Amino acid sequence: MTSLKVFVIARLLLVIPTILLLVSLVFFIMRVMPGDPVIAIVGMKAPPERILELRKALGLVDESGNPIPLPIQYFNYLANLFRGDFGRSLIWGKRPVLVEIMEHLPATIELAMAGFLVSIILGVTLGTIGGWKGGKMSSAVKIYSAITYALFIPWIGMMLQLLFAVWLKVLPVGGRIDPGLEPPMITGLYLLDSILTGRWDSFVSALRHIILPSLTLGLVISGVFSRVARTSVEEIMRQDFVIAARARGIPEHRLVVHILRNAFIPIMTMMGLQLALLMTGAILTETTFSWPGMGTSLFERIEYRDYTTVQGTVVFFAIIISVINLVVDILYAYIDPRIRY
Amino acid sequence: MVSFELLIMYLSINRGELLGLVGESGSGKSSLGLSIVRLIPPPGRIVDGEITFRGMNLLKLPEKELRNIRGKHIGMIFQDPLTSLDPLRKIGDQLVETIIVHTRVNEEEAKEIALRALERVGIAPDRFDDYPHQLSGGMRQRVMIAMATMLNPDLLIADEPTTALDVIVQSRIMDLLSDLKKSMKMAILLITHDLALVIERSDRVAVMYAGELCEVGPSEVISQEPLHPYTQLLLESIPDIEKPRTKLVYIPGNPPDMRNPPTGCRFWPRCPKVMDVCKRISPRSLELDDRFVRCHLYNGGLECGK
Ligand SMILES: Nc1ncnc2c1ncn2[C@@H]1O[C@H](COP(=O)(O)OP(=O)(O)OP(=O)(O)O)[C@@H](O)[C@H]1O
Ligand code: SF4
Ligand SMILES: [Mg+2]
Repeated sequence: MTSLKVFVIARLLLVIPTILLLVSLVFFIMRVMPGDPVIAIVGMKAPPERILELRKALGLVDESGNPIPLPIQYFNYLANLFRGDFGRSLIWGKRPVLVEIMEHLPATIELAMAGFLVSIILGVTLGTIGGWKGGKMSSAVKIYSAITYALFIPWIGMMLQLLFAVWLKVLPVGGRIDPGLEPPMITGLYLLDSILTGRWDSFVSALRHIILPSLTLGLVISGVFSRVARTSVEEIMRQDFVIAARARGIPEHRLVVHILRNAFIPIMTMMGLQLALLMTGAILTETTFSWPGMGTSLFERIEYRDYTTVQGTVVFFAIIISVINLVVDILYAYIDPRIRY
Repeated sequence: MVSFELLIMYLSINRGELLGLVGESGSGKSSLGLSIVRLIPPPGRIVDGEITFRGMNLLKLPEKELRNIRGKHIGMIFQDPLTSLDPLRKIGDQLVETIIVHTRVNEEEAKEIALRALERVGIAPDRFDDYPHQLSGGMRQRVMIAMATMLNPDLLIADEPTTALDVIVQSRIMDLLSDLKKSMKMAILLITHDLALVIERSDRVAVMYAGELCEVGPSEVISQEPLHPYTQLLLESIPDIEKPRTKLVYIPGNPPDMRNPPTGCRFWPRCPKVMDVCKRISPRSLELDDRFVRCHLYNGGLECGK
C-alpha cells in the first residue's frame, strides 16, 4: 500500500472523533445554557400539557413524563444522529430538521462557492502580484488585505446594494432569482441547473442575483488570501531553490508557476482555515441580501426559539466543516509529497 | 576566459582550471559568485566593474541573453543541495526543464540527456522520479552537479559544494569535480572557507578578505611562500595532522563590518605587520610572475592605491 493511501485512511479515521467532539460540544452547550428552553419557547403561562409535549420533543422526558438522565439523553442524541435523524422542528408541525436543512443547503452552498471563488481569484491574484513585484506593489496589497479583512459584511453589502441596485439600478437588491424563473431541480444550485437544462433566462437571472452577495463575501475573505499569497510568494522567492532555478536560466513565466505551486500549500491551508469564516460570512451575507439559505433560515428559527432545528443546523454545519477540512488535508498530502512521511 | 574585477584586483579563470576562492565567512565569496551571473539578491547590487565571459561583458548584457547563458554556459552549485532543489518536483522534471529551456530537444530527448548526466555522477536511472527529500545529501549534491554540468558549461561556479556533507562524501564530490574539469575542459570556481581543501584540489588559489582579494596565485606557490599576511595566518591556522600536539592557531580580532569597512587596507586592524601607511591608503595590487598580491609590504610601503 502506498504511503498516500495509508495517510488517507488514517485521516478518515481521525475525522470520526473530531465530529464526535463537535457534536458533543453542541449537545452540552445547549444543555448548560441558562434558563429553561421550554419556558423560553412557550412562555410562563403555557398549559402543562403543552410544556410536557415540548419536553418530550426535546428528549428531556420519556413517554410517561419521567425525566431522562443526562447520559441517556446524550446517548439517544448520538444514536439518532448516527441514523441521520437530526430531530424534528418544535414549531413547524414536527417537520424533520434534515428536510429543512436540505431545502436551504443548496442556496448556501451556491453562495459560499461563488464567494469563495471570488475571494480566491481576487486574493491570490493580488497577493501574487504584490509578492512578485515587491516594493510599492507589495505595500499596496498589504493595505488591501488590511482593509478588506476589517470590512463588516452587512455594511459592505449595503454599500454595494446602494451603488449597484439603488443608484445604478443594474443589479437586484436581494433574493436568489426572479420569481417564476427557478430552474428544474437537479442539484439545487440554480446556476448549474439552469445550464444543465439549457434555461438561459434562469441562468442570467440567477447570475445577476448572485453577483452582489458573492462579491460581498468574496471581498471580505480575499483579504486573508491576498495576505497569505503575498507573504508566501515573497518568502518562497527568497529561497535557495528559486535562486538556483534563476541560476539555471529558468524564465520568469515558468518560475511563477513553480513559486505558486510552493505557495499553494500555505494558501490552501488558509483556505481550509477560512471555511469557518466562509460559513459565518455566508450567514451574514444571506441575511443582508435575503438569500434563502441556511443562514437566513437559522436566524428565523433562532427568533422562533425552534431549538431542535437550531441544534440540528449547527451540528450539520460542524459536520460539513470537518468534512471539508478532511478533503483539504487529503489534497494537501497529495500535492506535497513530504506530508506523507 | 572569465574575468571580473573586485574592487582593485583582477581575477581570471581559464578553461580546464580549478580556481579556489577562500575567505572567512562573510567575506563576500558567495556575493562574488552570484555577481558573475548577476543574481545578487536585492537590495544588494553591482556598483561597477566588468565581467568578461566569451568576449561579452556580462554586466552589460540584456537580461534575456544573460538567461540563456545561465545554466547553459555557466553552471552553478550551491552549498545546501536540499534547499537548492524544488521540494515539490521530481528531480528528473527539474533536470528536463533546464534542458528544454536551453535547447531545442523534445521531452523524450531531454529525458535521455538527463539520464546520461545522472549516470555520469553515479545516480541510478530509477532515481529519476524521486523527490529531493528521498535522496541522501551526497546524492542531492550529485544531482545538482549533474544539473549544472549536463549542458557542458564553460564555467562551473561551485559555492561550498561540500560544506554540508561528511568527509568521505566530500572527497567523492571533489573527485567528481576534478574529473569534470579534466574530461570536459571546464573552468571551475570553487568557493570555500576550507583553505586546506583548496590547496589540495585547486590549480590556483584566490584569497579574499572583507570583500577584497588579497592574493591570487598557483596553489603550490601560495602554500609554500604566501606573501600576504592574511594568507600567512590562514595557512598557519590549518591544523597539521602530522603534529597533533601543536596548539590551534587562530587569527585574533573579527572581520570588519562590510557596510563600514576600515580605511586603507581592510586587514590592518588584525594585521601583525601593520604599518602607518596601511591605515590611510588602500594598497595597490602588484603582479609578481604568475601571482598577484595586494599589500604595502610589497609596494615599498609608499605608493598610493587606486
Ligand atoms: N563587495 C561587497 N561590498 C559590500 N558588501 C558586500 C560585498 N560582498 C559581500 N557583501 C556583504 O557581505 C555579506 C556576506 O557576503 P557573502 O554571503 O557573500 O559571504 P560569504 O563569504 O559567502 O560567507 P559564507 O562563508 O558565510 O557563505 C552579504 O550579505 C553582502 O551583503
Ligand atoms: S597592507 Fe599593511 S595592513 Fe594590509 S596586509 Fe599588508 S601589511 Fe598588513
Ligand atoms: Mg557563502
